Amino acid sequence: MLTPDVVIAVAIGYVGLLFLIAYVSDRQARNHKAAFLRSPFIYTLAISVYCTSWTFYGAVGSAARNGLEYLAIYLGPTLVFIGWWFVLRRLVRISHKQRITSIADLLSARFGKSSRLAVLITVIAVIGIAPYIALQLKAVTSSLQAIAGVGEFPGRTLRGIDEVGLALAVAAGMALFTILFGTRNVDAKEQHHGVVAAIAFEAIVKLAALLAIGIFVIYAGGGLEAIFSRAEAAGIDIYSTGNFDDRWVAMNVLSAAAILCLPRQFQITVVENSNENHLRTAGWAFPAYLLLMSLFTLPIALFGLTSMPAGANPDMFVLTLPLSAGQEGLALFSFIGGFSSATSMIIVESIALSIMVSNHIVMPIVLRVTQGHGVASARGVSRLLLNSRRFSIALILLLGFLYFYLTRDSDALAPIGLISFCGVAQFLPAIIAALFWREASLKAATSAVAVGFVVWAWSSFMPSFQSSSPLVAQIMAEGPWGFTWLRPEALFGVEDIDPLVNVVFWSLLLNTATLVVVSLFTSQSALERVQAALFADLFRRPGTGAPAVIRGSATVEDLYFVAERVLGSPRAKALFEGVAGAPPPQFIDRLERELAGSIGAASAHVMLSKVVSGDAVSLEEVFEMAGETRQVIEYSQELERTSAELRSTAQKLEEANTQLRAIDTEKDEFLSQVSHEVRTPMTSIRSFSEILLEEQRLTADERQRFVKTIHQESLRLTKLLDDILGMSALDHGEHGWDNTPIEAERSIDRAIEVCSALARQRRMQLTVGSRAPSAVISGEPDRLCQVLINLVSNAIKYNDAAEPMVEVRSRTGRGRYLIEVADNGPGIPKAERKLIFEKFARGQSGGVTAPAGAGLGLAISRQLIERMNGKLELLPATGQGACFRITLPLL
Amino acid sequence: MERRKLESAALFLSLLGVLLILPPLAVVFQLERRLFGVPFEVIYLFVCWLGLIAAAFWLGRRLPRETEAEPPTEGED
Amino acid sequence: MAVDVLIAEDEPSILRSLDFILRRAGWSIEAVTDGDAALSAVRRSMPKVLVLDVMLPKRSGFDVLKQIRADDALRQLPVLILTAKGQAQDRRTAEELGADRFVTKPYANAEVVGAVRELMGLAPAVE
Repeated sequence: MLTPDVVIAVAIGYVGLLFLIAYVSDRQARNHKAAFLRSPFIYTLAISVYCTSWTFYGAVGSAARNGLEYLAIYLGPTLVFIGWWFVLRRLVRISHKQRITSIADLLSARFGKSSRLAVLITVIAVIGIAPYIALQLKAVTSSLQAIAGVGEFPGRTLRGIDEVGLALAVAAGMALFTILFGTRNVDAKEQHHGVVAAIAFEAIVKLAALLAIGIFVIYAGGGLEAIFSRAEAAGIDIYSTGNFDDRWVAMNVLSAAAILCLPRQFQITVVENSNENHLRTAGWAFPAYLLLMSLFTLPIALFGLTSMPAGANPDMFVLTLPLSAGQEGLALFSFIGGFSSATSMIIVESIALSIMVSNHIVMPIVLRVTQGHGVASARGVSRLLLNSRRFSIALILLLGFLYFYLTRDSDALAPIGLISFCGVAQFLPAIIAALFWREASLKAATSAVAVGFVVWAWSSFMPSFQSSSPLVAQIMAEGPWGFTWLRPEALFGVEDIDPLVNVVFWSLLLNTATLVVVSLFTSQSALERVQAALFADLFRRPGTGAPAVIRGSATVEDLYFVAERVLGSPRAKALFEGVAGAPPPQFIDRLERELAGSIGAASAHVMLSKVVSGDAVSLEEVFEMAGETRQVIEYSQELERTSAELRSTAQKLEEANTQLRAIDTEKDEFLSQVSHEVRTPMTSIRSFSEILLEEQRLTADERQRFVKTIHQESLRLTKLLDDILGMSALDHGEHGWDNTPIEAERSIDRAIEVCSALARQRRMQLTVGSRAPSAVISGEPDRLCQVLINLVSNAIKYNDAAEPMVEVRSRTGRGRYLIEVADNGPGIPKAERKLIFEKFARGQSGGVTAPAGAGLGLAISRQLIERMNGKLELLPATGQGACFRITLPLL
Repeated sequence: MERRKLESAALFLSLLGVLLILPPLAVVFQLERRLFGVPFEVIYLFVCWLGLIAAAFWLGRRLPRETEAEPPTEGED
Repeated sequence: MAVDVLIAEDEPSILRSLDFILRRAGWSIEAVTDGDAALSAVRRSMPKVLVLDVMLPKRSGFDVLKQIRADDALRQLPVLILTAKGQAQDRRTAEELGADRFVTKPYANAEVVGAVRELMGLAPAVE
C-alpha cells in the first residue's frame, strides 16, 4: 500500500539518483568524454525547468477552474523561442562575450557596470521569486498530504504533522539538497554540467509521468469524445466562452517576459549555454516540449471534475485520479513527476539567485572592505563565494517558506506563480532596451525597474497577504489613507478590471514610460557609452573583440595575484601562459571577462581597476569601440567637452592672474605705507636736528626738549623697523621661538605694569577686571606680553572719551582661556572692523583716517597669537568703545 | 532563400504567431463546435502551435550560421 | 583775528618743529590737528598761508584743499601741501586740486620757510 513513508523513501532514493547523475556527468564533462552532455537536446530539456509543479499540478487546476487560460503560460514562451533569432541569440551572444553570470549581471554590464543596478535587480529577483518557491513547497506538501489521504481519504494520516510543519520540513530538505547539489564545486565557475544533466533527466521524468497520466485518463474516460461529452452533460462550459480577453493577452505577455527574465531561465538558457547554435534546436524543440506537457491537461481536468467527488482539489487531480482508481504504481510515478518539477525548479532558481546575491551583494561589500587586496589565501575568494552562495540558498528557501506561511489560506497554485511572473517581468523593458536601444541610460534603467517594482509590490505582492493581514485587507477595500484611486487592484480608479490585467498594464506602462523619459533627459557616463555600443553593435563588427576598457601600468605579477585568488591556481596559470612583461590591453580585457565569469562584471571591473589603477577609458578607445558613423558625432562631443575644459582653465588662469595683480597692488600699498611710516619720525628728527645745528639762540630747556624729541622719534623708527622685520619673518614662517607651557596671567601682569605709566600720563583709568586665578597655556611669555601692551596702549592712545578708561580682564572655561581688553573710546567703524587686522590698515572710508601708529600692531599681534594656536578678534560692537579678545587653548 | 529573406521570414513567423493566438483572430475560431469530439478552439490553438513549431524547425536549419560564433572558452574545469 | 600761517598737522613732534621754525621766521601761527578743524580755522582765522598735511584724521588734506578751492571766499588762499608719501601720484593730485607748493617729508627747515615766504608774497593783501 502507498503510504507517506514509502513515498518519502522513494523521494529520497530519487534524490540519490539525481546526485549520481550529476556526479557522473561532472566527471565525464571534466574528462571531455560525454559529448551528449553538450548536445542541443540536453540544453532544450534543461530549459524545460520552466515547467514546475505549477505546470505539473497547477495547470490541471487552472484548466478545471478557468478552461483554456492555462495555455497562455506556454504560448508566450513558444513565441519567444520561435523568434529566438531576434532576442535570445543576442542575449546569448552578448553574455558569452561579456562572461555574463546572471540577469543582474547583464543589466549591470550594459548600464556602465553599475553595481547599484545589480543590487537592485538582485533584491527584486529574490523578493519576486519568493512566491514561486512557496508554490513549489505548497505543491510538494499537498502532494504528500494527498498520498497520506488527508481530506479525501481519512485514516491514512501523516503522523499528525500539519501542513505548516510539513512545508517547513520540505523547505529544509530542499535547502540542504540544493546546497549539496549546487555548490559542490570549489571552483566558482558558473557552468554546472552535472546540474544541467540532472535537470534534463528530471525533464524527461516529469514529461513521461504527465503523459502516462494523460494516457491513463483517456483510457479510463473512454476516449476524448466521451470525456468532453460527459463534461458538457455535467454542465461544464467546455467551449471556454469569453476566454480570449484582456486577461488572456496579459498572461501571454507575462509568460513571454518570464521566459526571458526568470533568473533560472536566464541561468539555463543563457549562462549554461555552451554553443549559440543550440538555440537553433531549442527554437522548435522547447515549444514542442511545452506542447506535449499541455496536451492532456484539459482532458485530465474535465475527467477529474466529472469523476472525483465535489470539493476535491483540482490542483491534485494528477495524483488523486490514479489513487482513486487504485493505480498505486501510476500514482507513485505521478508523485515523482511532480517532485521532479519542484526540485528542478528550486535547484536552478536558488543557484541562479545565490549567484546573484554573492556576486552583486556579498562580493562588492568584501571588495570595498578589503580594498581588493585583503583576501589572503589563493582559495579565499572561491571559498567566500561558495559560502555566501550556500547562505543565500538557505535564505531564499526561508523566504519562500515565510511567504507560504503568510499566505497559506489561498488554495490555487497558478495565481501564486503569476505574482512571481509579474515581479520578474519588470526587468523586461530594461533588457529589451539593453539589447536594442543605445541611448537607454543607467539612471533610466534603475528608476524604471524601481518604479515597476513598486507598482508590482503594491498591486500584486501585497494583496496576497490580504487573508493574513487586516491592514492589507483594509487598504484593498478603501485604499491607503482613504485614497480610493490607489486601491491596489483598481489603480487610478479603473474599476471592474481583472487584478492581473490591472497590475500587468500599470506596472509595465509606468516602467517603460520611466525608462524612455528618463533616458531622453539624462546623459550616459563614458563607460556606459562604451558598453551601450558593445551591446548595440553586437553583430556589426565581426572579428574584433571588445577593446580594453581598463588600461594602465599593472604588471603581469599584479594581475596574476588577482586572477589566482578568484579563478584558482590551475586556471590562472593556464590563462597567463605565454604572457610576460607589460600585459597588452587585450589581455587585461580577456582577464576581466574571465573574472566577470566568476564574480560578475561590476565586481570584476572594480577589482581590476583597483589593481591596474589606470584611467577608465581613453578617448581613442571610445572611438575604437564606436561604429564609423558614430565617430564623428562622438568626436565633436569630445571636442565640445574639451573646449569647455579649456574655457574653464582659461578662467582659472585669469583668476590666478587677478590674484597676482592684487598681491602686487598690496605690495605697492605696503611699500608706500612703510615709506610713510618711516618718513614721519624722520621728518621730526631731521627738522629738529637742523634747528639744533642752525639756531644759536636756543635756551637750554629748548635744546633739551628737541634732543629728547629726536631721541624718541629715533626709538620709534627703530621699533618700526623691528616690526617690519618681524612681520616679514612671520610671513615666511620663521617664527623664531618654540611654544612652551607658560602662566599667561603673569604676562598680563607685566603688560599692565608697563601700560599703567602711559595711562597715568594721559590721566586715564586703567582698570583690572575679574581675572582667572591661573591659566597655563602653550606659548611665549614675551610675545604674549607684547601683544597685550599693543592692545592696551592702542586703547589708551586712541581714547577720546571725556572720562577715558580701559579695562583688562581674563577668564577660563571649556578648555579655553580668554583675555579681553575693552575701552570706552570711539570704537571701530563697521566697515573697518575686518580691515584693522590687515598690515598698515588705515581707515580710508569716508575720509576718516585712523591715527598713525596703528599700522603694523594688530596684524603682527594676530599672527603672534595664531602662532600660539589661539586667535585674536574684535568682538561685535556694543555701541560703546571696542573690545579685543584673545582666545587661547588651555593645557 | 537568401539570408535577408530568411531573417525576415523568422521575424514574420513570430509576428504571425502573436496574431494567431491573440484576440481578434483567436475569437474568430471560437465556434462552439467540436471536431473529433474536442472543442474547435482547442484544436485551433494546438494546430497553430504545431504549425509554428514546424516552421521554426524548418527555419532553424536554414538560418545562417555565424562563423564567428565564438564558443566560450572552457575545458579547464 | 587773522594769523599769518595756519598749520594742519596731526603728528605732535612734526607740529612742534613746524611751529618752532615758522615762529622763528617771524609769523604768527595757529595749529590744528585734523581736517575738520583745519576747514573751520581757515574760515574763522583767515590765515595768509595754509600748511596742510595730507594724512589727517577726520578729513584728508586733499579733501580740505578741494573744499577751499570750491569756496569763493577762500579760493585765493595759498596752500602748501606736506606729505610723507612723496609719490608722483600724490604730487599730481595736489597740483590738480590747486596746491601752490608741494613739500615732501622729511623736509629741510629752510625749504618750508622759503616756500611759506614765497606764498606770503602771493597772498592777497590784507589790511
